[in-house]
Amino acid sequence: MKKLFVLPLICFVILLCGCADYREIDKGYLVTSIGISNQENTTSIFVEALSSSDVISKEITRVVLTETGKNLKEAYKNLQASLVKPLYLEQLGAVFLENTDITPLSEIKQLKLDVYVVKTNSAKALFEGETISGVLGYDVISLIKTQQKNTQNQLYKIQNKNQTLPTVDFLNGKMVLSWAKENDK
Amino acid sequence: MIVLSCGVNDYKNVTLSGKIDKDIALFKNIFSRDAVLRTREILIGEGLRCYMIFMDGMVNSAQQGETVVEALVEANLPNDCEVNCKYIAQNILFANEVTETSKLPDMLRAILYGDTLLIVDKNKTALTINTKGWRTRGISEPDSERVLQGPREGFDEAAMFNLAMIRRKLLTPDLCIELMRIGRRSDTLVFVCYLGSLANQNTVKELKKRLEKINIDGILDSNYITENIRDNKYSLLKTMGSTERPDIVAARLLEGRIALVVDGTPVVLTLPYLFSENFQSDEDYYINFTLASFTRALRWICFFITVSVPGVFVALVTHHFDLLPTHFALTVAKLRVGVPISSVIECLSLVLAFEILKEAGLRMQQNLGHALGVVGGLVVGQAAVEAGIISAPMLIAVAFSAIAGLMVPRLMSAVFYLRIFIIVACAFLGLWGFFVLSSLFVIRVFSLKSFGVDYTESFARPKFQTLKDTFFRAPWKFMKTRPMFNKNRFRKGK
Repeated sequence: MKKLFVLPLICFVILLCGCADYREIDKGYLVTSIGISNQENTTSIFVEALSSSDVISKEITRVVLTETGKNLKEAYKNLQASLVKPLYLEQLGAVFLENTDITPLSEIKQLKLDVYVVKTNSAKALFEGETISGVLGYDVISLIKTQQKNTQNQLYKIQNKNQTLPTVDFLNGKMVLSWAKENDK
Repeated sequence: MIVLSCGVNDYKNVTLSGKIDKDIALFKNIFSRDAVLRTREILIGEGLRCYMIFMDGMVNSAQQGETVVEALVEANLPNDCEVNCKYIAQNILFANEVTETSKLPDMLRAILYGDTLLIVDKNKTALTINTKGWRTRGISEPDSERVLQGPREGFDEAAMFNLAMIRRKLLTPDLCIELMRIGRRSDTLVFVCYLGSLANQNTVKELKKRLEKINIDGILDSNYITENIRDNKYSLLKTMGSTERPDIVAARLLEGRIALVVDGTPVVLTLPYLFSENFQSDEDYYINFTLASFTRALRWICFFITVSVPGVFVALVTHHFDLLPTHFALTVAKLRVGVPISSVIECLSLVLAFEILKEAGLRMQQNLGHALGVVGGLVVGQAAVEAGIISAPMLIAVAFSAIAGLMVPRLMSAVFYLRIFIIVACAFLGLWGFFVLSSLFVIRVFSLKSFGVDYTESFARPKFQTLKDTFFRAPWKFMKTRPMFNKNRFRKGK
């Protein structure tokens, strides 16, 4: 008789979890890179995402989404509120920081720990510029991996907020990744 | 008077009177509603009346004519001694098997099983004469256990012929064959076979005990017995083996197992049954061990693939996008656009669709079955993807899983349910669900028993000798021991 209750009980316990974290891969923006710009007490967030929402053409389209707020948390919240689909950060490749250190990144809860953190002098220019492969985040990761000088800029490897990070910018229309010299650390 | 009964044992208290008219009336009364019962009166010598009673269609008429009718009609009775059943059996009948009995149930069984019953006036006993002549399907290769190399014979529905096929492979008096009758109304013959020097007698006793406890109207297939006597009756996993091949039965007997041959079905049961047997094929032993080991390993891998791939794929595309390579994630996302149902429902529907196709294909004629496979699998699948009802990656995952499942046919039912459970668990909990359910499955498998023997006995104390016929098939040179449940473990011993 006891066994009769075990199965419904297990089902009930499973149902309690309510399909925790269930999402459909095509029902959101697959974020590939995020830019954070901090200027005059205003934080701007730039999000590069790939969207597969085009039902007719069934093509993947690259979109750059921007929003501002008092801090990163607010900017990110405003951005999410303005979108019709959620942001999926699982495929996030790189985060670009302009005039800020890594401290505000803790305000985005879903951020992956293996994401590459790179500094930039102009996040806006970076996101609006022409990319090599079509996806900014993966261009930067390719550059980092190709140069192989230092891969200590993944979020979980960063020791402290003052750690020197590589910088990426457009110079004469070309994306250039520069590394700090060893004695600069 | 019509005697209502459910089985021959209901007549165990009835005996023949010795008055032939009264006795023949008894049989006619018992079979009063049976249109195929035949009786024939014969006068032996100068007037000893006797009756032949048999079932039309069950006897070999030519054999009956030669060995019984002709012998009785042409017999000359002596004047100096009493003519009774014993005399007729010893001096008149030509039949190879004649038995004298006074028990009415035995007489009825003989009639019902194709023998001829001879009742003689002034005798309270009768003779059962072997004249069985019912048709059988004959020896053919079982469709479900085909081999490229090795014996091609398979059992048919007649238990006696099946026993002969086993006997032909084991020419030893050590082969014990015990008869049991099961089924209140069907009174089916069930033979318990084992090698006396190898089989564990406690297991034999336990088996007989369980067989005696079966209370059922009829046994039409060995599965009726399986469901009644197996351990863990509600488990998805088989805890009793079944085969249609005499070579497999012989091999199992040589390992100290017990076989159950049930009359009326070509499926012979073997026990105890171990989990690793699900991955064995008879062909493994008929081909080179290197190739056999490779295919054996492939079966284990395919089992893992078939139960896990759809579930893990659902977990990846609904919970763990980060584990997908970027380009693959994009491809999956792109191909899912416009699909009206969620990934988990899509996956469950495809698994169900495959089961429908498989079941429909099995029940169809062979030629139509192939056509159904092509139309169902290729045409409908392709059309469904193009129509945007399902996504191509999910179709590939489920189809791959389904094909892999065909590598382990003995686990088919378990695989189906396990696959469904894993898909649901993965939809709810992602890969956590997969690991939790997989762990529960492993725990369950290790807790099962088959007639007192651990289901995973081979893995309990992993050594080369215990694993030699599990994940791989070792060369015969190294097959030194029989399974651990065996009382005589060393193959090269006595």
